[in-house]
Amino acid sequence: MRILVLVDGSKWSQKAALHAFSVARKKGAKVVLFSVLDRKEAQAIAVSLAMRSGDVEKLKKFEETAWKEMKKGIHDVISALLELGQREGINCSFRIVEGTAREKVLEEANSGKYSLVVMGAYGKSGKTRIGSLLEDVVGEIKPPVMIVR
Amino acid sequence: MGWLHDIILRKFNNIAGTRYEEILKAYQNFFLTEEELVIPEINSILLVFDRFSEKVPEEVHETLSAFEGATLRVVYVIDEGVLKMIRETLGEEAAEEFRKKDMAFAKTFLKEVEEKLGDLNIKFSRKIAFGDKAEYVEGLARKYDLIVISRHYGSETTRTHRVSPIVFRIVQHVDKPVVLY
Repeated sequence: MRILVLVDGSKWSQKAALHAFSVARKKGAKVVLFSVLDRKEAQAIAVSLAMRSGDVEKLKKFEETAWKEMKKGIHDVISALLELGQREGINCSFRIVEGTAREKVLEEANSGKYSLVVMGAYGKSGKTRIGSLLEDVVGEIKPPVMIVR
Repeated sequence: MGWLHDIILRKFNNIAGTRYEEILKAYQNFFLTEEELVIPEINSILLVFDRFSEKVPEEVHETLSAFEGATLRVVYVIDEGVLKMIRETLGEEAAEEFRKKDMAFAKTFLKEVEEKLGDLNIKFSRKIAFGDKAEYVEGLARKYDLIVISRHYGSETTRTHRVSPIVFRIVQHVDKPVVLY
């Protein structure tokens, strides 16, 4: 059994990983922590920073800084989850890809490798409403999806 | 490793110092607390069906088998609102006929479900209930650690809407993990 966990760094994606560990621990399943980094997110941050500082010349620099921070942030979250998983004796690995979240998530989830996909109910914007990615992909993911809150 | 890693490794208290409680309160939507960073135990599972639900796929059985020892409640929900509407428009006899047909369908459906669950060696109990399909599940879900439900529960799905709006409502309102199949 292989379980795919969608990790975006949010609290709920971390809780999703904990639930995946719960299933994996008893089934001896393999857990894959999967994350998508979207360059557009870094560009959006860069634009916001450039507008605030009034220095459009630094747009590219801001984008690179934001991109570096995004990568570091997700690596931090994933390495902490891997550490916890390994401590619990769970067969756990990770995959970070670049691209559009919807496209990459559907590609991975529907690759035929997974019996279960686990994701958080909310995204990085917090507990306001059901996450937009969830709404976007849950009907199109072929394996069963566990939604965690 | 950075500050985020430290937070996840429960060193948030060290970083935040005396402002720990204050920060946690303001940013509780973003930080996992000490209590939350625990691999959860699933001791009770609610498996819900109705006439639109699909059969439970093999992958869900595989997942359920991870919770050996948990109690499993199988509930088939018949829409009370539809019964009421038939009673008011077509009369008591038509409503009774609808009820009997739905009950017969439910029994056949549940028999198949039970046969599969029996193979998994999971203890379960079952019930056929009448009620509002969303409210009934939302009310019942509080007593369980995990909810399992078909994406089609509550209404037909279409090519553009592959998850029924009732299922979305349940996911939005229920404070427990939900497995959609």
